[in-house]
Amino acid sequence: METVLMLPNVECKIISIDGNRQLANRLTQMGVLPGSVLRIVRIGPLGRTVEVLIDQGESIALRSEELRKIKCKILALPLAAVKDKQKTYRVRNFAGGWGFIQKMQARGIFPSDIIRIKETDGYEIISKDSRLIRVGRGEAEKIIVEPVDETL
Amino acid sequence: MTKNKTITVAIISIPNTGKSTLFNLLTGAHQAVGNWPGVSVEKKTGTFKLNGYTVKLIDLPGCYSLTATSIEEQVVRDYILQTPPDVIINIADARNLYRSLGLTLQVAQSGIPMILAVNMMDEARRMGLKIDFKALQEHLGMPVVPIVARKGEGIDQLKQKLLELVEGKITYHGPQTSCPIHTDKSVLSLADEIKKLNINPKLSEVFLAVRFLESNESTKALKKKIPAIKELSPAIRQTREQLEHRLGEKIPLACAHCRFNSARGLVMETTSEHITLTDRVTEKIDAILLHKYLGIPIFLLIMLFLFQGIYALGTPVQNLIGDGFEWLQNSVRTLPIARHISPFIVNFITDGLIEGVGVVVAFFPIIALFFIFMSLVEDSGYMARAAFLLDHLMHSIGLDGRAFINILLGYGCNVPAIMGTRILSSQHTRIITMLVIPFTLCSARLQVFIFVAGILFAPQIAPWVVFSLYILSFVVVILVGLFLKLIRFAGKPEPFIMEIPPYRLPTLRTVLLRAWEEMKDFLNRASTIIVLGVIVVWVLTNLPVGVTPGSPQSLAAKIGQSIAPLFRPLGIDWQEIIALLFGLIAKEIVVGSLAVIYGGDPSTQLAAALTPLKGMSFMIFTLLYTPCVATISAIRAESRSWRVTGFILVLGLTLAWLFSFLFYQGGKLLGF
Repeated sequence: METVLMLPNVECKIISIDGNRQLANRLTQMGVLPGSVLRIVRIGPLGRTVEVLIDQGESIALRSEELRKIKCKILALPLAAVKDKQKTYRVRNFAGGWGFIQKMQARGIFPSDIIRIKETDGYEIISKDSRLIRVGRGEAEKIIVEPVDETL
Repeated sequence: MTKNKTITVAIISIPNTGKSTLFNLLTGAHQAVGNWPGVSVEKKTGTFKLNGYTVKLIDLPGCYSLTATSIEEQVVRDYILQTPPDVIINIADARNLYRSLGLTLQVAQSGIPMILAVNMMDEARRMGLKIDFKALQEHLGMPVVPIVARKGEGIDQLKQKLLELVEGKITYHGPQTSCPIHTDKSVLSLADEIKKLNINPKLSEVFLAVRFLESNESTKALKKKIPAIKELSPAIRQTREQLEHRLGEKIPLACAHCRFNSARGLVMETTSEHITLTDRVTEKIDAILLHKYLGIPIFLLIMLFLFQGIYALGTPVQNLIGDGFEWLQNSVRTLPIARHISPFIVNFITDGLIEGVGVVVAFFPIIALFFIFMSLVEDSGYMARAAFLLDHLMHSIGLDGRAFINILLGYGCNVPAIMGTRILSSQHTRIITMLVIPFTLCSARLQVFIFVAGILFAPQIAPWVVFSLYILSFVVVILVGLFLKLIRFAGKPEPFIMEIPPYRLPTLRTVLLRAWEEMKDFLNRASTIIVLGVIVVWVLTNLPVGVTPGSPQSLAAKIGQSIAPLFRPLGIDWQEIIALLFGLIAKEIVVGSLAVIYGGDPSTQLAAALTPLKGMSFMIFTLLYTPCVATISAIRAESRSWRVTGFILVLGLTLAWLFSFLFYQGGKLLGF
């Protein structure tokens, strides 16, 4: 089971909330239940405090140590946060403006492309037509990918 | 029902749905603010006329559910259980019905006639959201009224429905929430048991059964009123154990699942499209205001602006009021009739009574401005952002980000800062914040420091002396916070979950009403202690009859001299002890009373009497010792606890003595 990654644009689906009973109660009574999807919006400037967007549309602030107690399945994450190089990923969207999208498309990365990651140090990715594309760390933070379930 | 009858209506909703706006709209200025018994949670009640009926409106604290996880929710639960109102108005947020409907479905079970007001329709419309009110009404079995509380839209329909409900023209059915069969069965059988007791016709037995199964606290809340509940305890325990065993989870969690599943279904059926509440404007503003590096500097700028605003606007008015009262004192003294009364009584009236009332009134402009700015910050949605930015910092001393603003404003004046703690989210943070605020260096203390430092130190050094006192104040605030966290003075902290609402333009009406209410509140709750405190100090310094106030023959001087040995290790003489005693009224009086006690020109006298080391020790004591009567009364009023109030008195005196002692003795050792 995974826990929430403390990075902006990470999206995950709650499997179960336990550990801290008080927190579990509070979230449940707010309508945040297993099956709800959370998206990390931002981390506070001093760290530790995290703004989370619930799929029902409300934004709430939590502390990271409390957020970590939530068991979940990661649905999407920035390329820069990918650790497991073995897996295949699908480009879901770009967390950037129009210019960034243009730039990425000029390089041959489009939403819904299936990619493999070759090197996470300088971010070399292999696009669907087996071309090797290099992206910088800053760019990798804005490319949001979702893990592809290869068993299907 | 006959006319001229009073009906009790309670407004209930989850936080941030415009509850206060609707409350203000319905009641106008006919409001009273108080506390719920035993806790530091604000209780607002108001009245309005409706077609011959007097409607008593109760503003319940914002809560997500009757399954209480916070003190606010306990208050609401106990209120519904112990004194069920005649009608409940439930407010929902049109932009996000799901969020609100969980509470609606739970409260609807109670059997109390209910109206659902769907607020913020304007914003929902702008988002392109359509709600099928007819379907919603049918499913919920209660009148549903679309409103825009900010603009007063739909309020007439709301009142109309309320009237129809009261007069029995529409009947209330309530919704059906389906739960797993064995849950339903257990609840129904327990409900049958309750029915046999024949206890409270106003609440449905099913509702009571669920409450009892969820927690023992609900049973406790009713036990006093209905002792027969005790007989149910074995049945409740047994049913709960069986049910939790079968469900594999706690009953409150299981019930929340059922409710929110129903809510989800209802929303899918009645709203036009999927909700995307992330509004663009909020996102754009937050990208700047919550920026990684810019966020905190912008926050500090906003605070600086508020701070300057409050004191730049408030201080002249305060001085004006001060002058007014001085004029009043002088004119009473020179009244022809004053010559025929003993000077003791004249003095009592002028320096005791009028002075006391003057101290109270002088707080008005600051409190009004403070709350105008506070409600701007709060209603716009920035408060939650500020809390988000600074949460980590405050977490280390057991508080959350919101408390930072209160503590910061304490550096202006402790009184409104303490009154402002009521907007904090939990009892725990409220109490801790209240207890650290008296150690902030408020503007009244600053006057003393500027005066004393100016006399005893060279002009180049004096500002640094004052600055070092600011640093000391910061340090003590942190130390006291850590200490209170360590000894768990206010119990366990609640988990931090804070909603970050979308930005909204505050309405002038809400802001002004708030300031007005706070001033009224201050007058009602704080003034008696303040006036009494002033009179007590006056009596001490003016008895026995005929002495020069504060002279060595007065009672105060006797007290000062008798406790002088305690202060000798601090380098503080009995003259300063009297000044400190005066300082209980208001810190700025310390300067004036030094002048009275030393007589003549206080500057030269003080310079002769005090060494810089003694003066510094005196200033440290002034910074930390017992706060002024206005602050004490604010703490008492907000905490509703003599324990907390007494604690701050003892803590202040102890810390002041300790720090002065260490400083003075340390200084002497170093040869100053």
